[in-house]
Amino acid sequence: MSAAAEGFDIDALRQRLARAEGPAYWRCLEEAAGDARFQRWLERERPRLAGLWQAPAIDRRAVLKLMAASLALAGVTACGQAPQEAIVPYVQMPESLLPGMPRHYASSLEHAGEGIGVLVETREGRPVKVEGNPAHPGSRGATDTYAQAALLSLYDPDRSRSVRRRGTPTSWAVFAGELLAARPALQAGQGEGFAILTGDTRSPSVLASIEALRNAQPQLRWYRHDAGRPQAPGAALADAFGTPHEPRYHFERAELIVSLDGDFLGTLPGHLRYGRDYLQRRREQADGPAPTRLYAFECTPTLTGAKADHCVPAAPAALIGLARALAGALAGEVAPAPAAPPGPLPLPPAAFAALVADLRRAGPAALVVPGEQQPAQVQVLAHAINAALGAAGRTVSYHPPDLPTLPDLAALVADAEAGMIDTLLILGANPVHQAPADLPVAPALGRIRRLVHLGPHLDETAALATWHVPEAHPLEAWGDTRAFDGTIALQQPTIAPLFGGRTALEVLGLLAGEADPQAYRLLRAHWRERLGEPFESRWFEALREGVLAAPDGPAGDAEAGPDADWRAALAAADSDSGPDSAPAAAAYTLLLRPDPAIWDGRYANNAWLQELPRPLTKLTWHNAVMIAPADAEVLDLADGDHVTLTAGEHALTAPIWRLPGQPAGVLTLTLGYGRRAGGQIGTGVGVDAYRLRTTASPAMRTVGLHREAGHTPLASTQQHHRMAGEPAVREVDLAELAGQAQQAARAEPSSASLYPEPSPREGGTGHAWAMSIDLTACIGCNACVIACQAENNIPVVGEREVRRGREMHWLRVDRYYRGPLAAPATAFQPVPCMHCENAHCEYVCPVEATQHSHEGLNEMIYNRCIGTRYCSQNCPYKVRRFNWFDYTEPAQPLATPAPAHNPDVSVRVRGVMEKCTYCVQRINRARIAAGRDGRALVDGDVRTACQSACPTEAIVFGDLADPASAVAVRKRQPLDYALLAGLNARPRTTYLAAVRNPNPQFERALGRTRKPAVREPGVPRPGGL
Amino acid sequence: MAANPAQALTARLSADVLERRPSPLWWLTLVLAGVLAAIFALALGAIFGWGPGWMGMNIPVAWAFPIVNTIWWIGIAHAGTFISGVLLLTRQHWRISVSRIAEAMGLFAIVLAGLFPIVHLGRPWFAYWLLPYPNTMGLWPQWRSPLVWDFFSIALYLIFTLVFLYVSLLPDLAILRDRARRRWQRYGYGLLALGWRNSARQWQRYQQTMLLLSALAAPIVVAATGVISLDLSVSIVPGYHFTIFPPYFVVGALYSGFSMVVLIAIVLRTARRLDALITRGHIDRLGRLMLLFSLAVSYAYLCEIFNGWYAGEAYYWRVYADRWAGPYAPMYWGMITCNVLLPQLLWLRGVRRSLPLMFLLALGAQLGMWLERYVIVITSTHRDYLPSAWDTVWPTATDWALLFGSLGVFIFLLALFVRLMPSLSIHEMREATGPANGPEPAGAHPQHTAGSTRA
Repeated sequence: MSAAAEGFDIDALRQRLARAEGPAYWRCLEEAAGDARFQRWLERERPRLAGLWQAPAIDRRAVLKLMAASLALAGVTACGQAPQEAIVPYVQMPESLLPGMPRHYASSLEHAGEGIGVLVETREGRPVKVEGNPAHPGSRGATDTYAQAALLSLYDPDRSRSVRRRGTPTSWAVFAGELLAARPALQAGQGEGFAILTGDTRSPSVLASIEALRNAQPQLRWYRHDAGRPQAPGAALADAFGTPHEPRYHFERAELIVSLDGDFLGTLPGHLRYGRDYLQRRREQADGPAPTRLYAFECTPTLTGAKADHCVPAAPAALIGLARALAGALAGEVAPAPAAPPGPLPLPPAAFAALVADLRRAGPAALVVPGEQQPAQVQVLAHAINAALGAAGRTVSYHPPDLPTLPDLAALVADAEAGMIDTLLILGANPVHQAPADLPVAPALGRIRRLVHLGPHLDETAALATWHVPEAHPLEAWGDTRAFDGTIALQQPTIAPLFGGRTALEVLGLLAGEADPQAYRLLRAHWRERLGEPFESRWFEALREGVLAAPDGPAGDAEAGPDADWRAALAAADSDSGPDSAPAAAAYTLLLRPDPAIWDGRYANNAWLQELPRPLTKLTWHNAVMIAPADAEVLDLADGDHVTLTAGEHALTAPIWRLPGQPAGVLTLTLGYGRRAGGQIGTGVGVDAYRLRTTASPAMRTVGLHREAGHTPLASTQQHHRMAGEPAVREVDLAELAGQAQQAARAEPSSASLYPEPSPREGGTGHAWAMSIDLTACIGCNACVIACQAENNIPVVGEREVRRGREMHWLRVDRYYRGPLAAPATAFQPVPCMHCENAHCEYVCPVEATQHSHEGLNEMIYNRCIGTRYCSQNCPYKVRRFNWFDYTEPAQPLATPAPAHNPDVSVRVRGVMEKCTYCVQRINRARIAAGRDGRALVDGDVRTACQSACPTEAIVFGDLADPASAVAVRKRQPLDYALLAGLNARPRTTYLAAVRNPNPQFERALGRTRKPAVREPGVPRPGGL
Repeated sequence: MAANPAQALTARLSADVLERRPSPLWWLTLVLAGVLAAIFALALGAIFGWGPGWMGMNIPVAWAFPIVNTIWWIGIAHAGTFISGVLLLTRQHWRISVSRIAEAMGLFAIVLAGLFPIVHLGRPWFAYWLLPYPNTMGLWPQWRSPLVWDFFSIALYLIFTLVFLYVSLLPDLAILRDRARRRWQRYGYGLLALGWRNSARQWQRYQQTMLLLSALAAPIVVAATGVISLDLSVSIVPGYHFTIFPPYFVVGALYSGFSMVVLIAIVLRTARRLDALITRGHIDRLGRLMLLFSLAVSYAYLCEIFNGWYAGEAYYWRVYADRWAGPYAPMYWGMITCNVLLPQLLWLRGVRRSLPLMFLLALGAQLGMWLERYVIVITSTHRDYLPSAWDTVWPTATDWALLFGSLGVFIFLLALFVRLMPSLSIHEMREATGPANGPEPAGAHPQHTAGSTRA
């Protein structure tokens, strides 16, 4: 110790020690002396300890005081003010909350600007399931995958949790103060320098608030960026009507539908309602007189093409040619028939003639549906044909959109670069990730002094923002939505915001001068003006029903919408896009489409959607360049091989996927992947297709393609295989069905047996649960898959496990092809557990972990299962799923957060088998409810999760013992068949064969004669496509 | 003492165990096998700790390599039982040179065969639920499930093999006890010898017991493999569902068992210079047996294909088409090469008497039989009924660790066994080497002469 050498006053120390009171311990003389040199030494040698030494003495009493105070204050933080806002449960208001019983709230969810009505099931105050709201005209009780998966997004642990100023957490109050302080500048400059960028939202109250701000401050700029649907609403038909108009289709009146890449079953706004209308009409035709027929010409396979009676792949240029030729034949006054065919038609002349004849025959009952991603020419031509056929006003009507045509992101970038924007509010958009590659969005945003970002995640845009405000999830916030048909529905929160999120309405409220904007108050104020008196009762009615305003616009036959000048519109569209030119021979046409699972990238962090097998490719966790198998063969490419797409200065390397039915020379890549800040799950998944997008042509691009050395093993849940033996999917032509209804699809062996009937017997006492799935109606949309996942706590396993064939979905949608590789017909078949009466899984289990209930359910007893997996080996349908690892362990990054779990369904541990239970928890809940009411269960009391999610009512579940039940009625139809009936498993789940209605002339002209789906003996070509 | 050949033999064989210092080769074998065994333990730890997902399995193919390995090891185990039991009954004189090692091999193989089904389980810690014991759940195993039969047949086989080996070891343990110089050897072998005193009464009981066990051996061999094959044939999976499976599996198991005996005999003969005891004539006879069972296995393959065709079921026929040309075709044709084509060389006397060729053929047979189980277990479900559910599985690093690790465990245990126990049956060798009436080693009852009760 160096201090010792310097010496000190030992006498002073003695005196001080003598004076000391109480126990005072000392360790060395220097310390006891309190010497300054000791202090210096301490600071030099042990700088960390010096501070401690000088700290004020802490005694026992002080410690206890501090502890007591901390404990007391810790409790204080848990207290919050419950919002004083009334929300109303749907229809049946329980007298008091029953713990363990679900409560449903009518609400609505918006996806890509389109609202659908939902009922949110909550348990003890937390939402656990989303169901469709049958009272909502825009969706009629149907839901799609996005609505079903919204639940997981609500509990997403990666959601932004606080207001941030340049990345540093701060508070809403600070943010509100800053925005309010900016208001004088806003008012003084009439809004000069202020701008708002909205995403694809079409919430009436948000749009109205921005309108109101613009009215007050005329210089305020408003931009809109819709990455999924780059064409502004109604813009394609603006030249025809003078103002933008959006088409609205009426499939319930359509007898003949020609889709020009118009995916009205999959992606068009209103697809839920369209699917319901189209298939309702189509199903009635089985005994009705007016059969519907659907021709689909498509640039890339879609759900609509898969359901079409005739599906013809057509490259984009050929599709324009077809539209022109059709218009020439049917609407000569708009587009005179060209002397020579305008280009290579996707079909032979005889087929074209058959198509034209069919359209003429249908007349006003025909409907031509163009794709929203198609160039304006196709859209104008299609609607001109509708007009010429007299369909306008009958099967299609036109409506002005609810929002003005707004400048897009390119205008925003130009204005920002010109220094005209000082403050920008980005409300629910992520332009930094979703901008076309030719727009320097990030540098332009960097020039903006005050960039406010409202979004659910700390995404790519939030990283650049001055202010980031967490956006409340639609399930936890007040709001409103507008459906494609103008139906307006309220969004009521079912839980207090988990992470203190705010809504666009509240941020706009700040700009409007509200010191403490509350979405509830703002929303009510907005609707109080519009609903009129008696407001309160109307408001409560809207909350209860989930619908605030019925569809707008003309609905009847008489109203065709305004007169349209199609000739001028076509001329304008032609001059915009130049002559139809086929791309150079060596080049490919690349289509950029929103992804069927993650749309424009906003759902990238939703593990349910990432792991959802895309309807046609069955790919999960990645996007890929879809290529025609013939093209891939020429280039000697296998699935997953890398190619580089080049267009101008843009290049992108991506794996390929061979997709039967993809037109030759056309590539499709879906958007939304390659997120750089997409959360734990979404970051870095797939390739970023926005890097090939341009502002001028956002949906289509001519690209060069060349091979790369790399290979990405893609996680697909189904390979391309041919069927053998009994066809799993059966189809009958309508013509055949009319003639010989008895034989239709049934080619089943007799089930006569010496053994007694398996228990329970049909028609015996008690219930006999069964399911019927109508393959005519199944459009392969996957809503049932996600609904099942949400209802039954099905874990997500991740890309690597999916690649190894270990996905856990209890319900899978099988996809089969028929016909040639270049233009196959596609069939979908949902396969849940069949609940066989002679279940092969049951007798092989050594520990009796899977058993038959007296009501015919094949039950899985997880606690008893030891994981021999014999049941799965012996299941001919392979519907059982095994927990190879502990997928539900909370530490797993992919594990579904516990609050999202359905409390009625056990979460399975590793090493046990699981499978579809026919939603036994719902059966039991209905049984208990009926028992409490002292009545018997009636048909419709039990609806399985897949059934209630299905947009087309393909799935019916019920009691076979009740001959009047819907399922029993369906099973008596001649179309009813059992999958693999020859195995005598006697499945309780059966199918109705798909009914197709092809045009024989068209078929002949295409050179295809369809063989009815009968037994196909012989050996398939293994492994190949 | 040296004048009596039986005495000399006893001295030499017991000295092998009691006196001889282990050779460097033995140490090398032990260490290498020990490393493999440690890898095996690691793989087991991963599977028990995290789940069976470490192995290459998925939903259409939920049974894969652990089941392949089980059947493979059972086949190897059969050799031991067959040699010691059936050949004893049929009084095959040459069998004594290999019987002890074959029995030990059988025991270790059955232990591994019994371990793999537990590795296969999703929740291995509940494997005991297959036992019919009174429990609070009030549940018994499901007697209709072949897995329960399997459990009992493997357990029975394990007990049988253990008893057989132990009983046959008893006189030798007594010899070792009596000749041991070290204290631990005297106590160890003494305890294990269970008080064997070489009395005539004991010998009589011994002979009766061995005769009885030998008589049981054949049915147990047939039952064990036959019941395991029922796991497959009771199911409705095309490619599993064949009534021919029990005999098919038995001949397959014997084929693999005999080839394993060839391997062990050649290794032992070379390593321990037992040329006089294990002659080329013995190897020749084993070669003939291999040929016989190879022909039987080939017949089973043909029969299976015929059934697949004759049944007229597209699903069944597709299984074969897939085996011939699908993703697992290399395994199928490898199996045909190893089990059908190469064994045809055994028609040649020169091949049967050539140790290197026999060694290679026996190795090939082991590989072929592993591939056979691979083909049966995996290719049947990977494309069964609905094409949408089809998928393939491939072995993972864990699967290889388990396979080669189990070989390591097997060799490790065998190496320990040949150090601690006489790898040739001393008392049987003494009988074989002549009149066998020389005086017994110290401590034995003089009135008894080994083999006198067998005439």
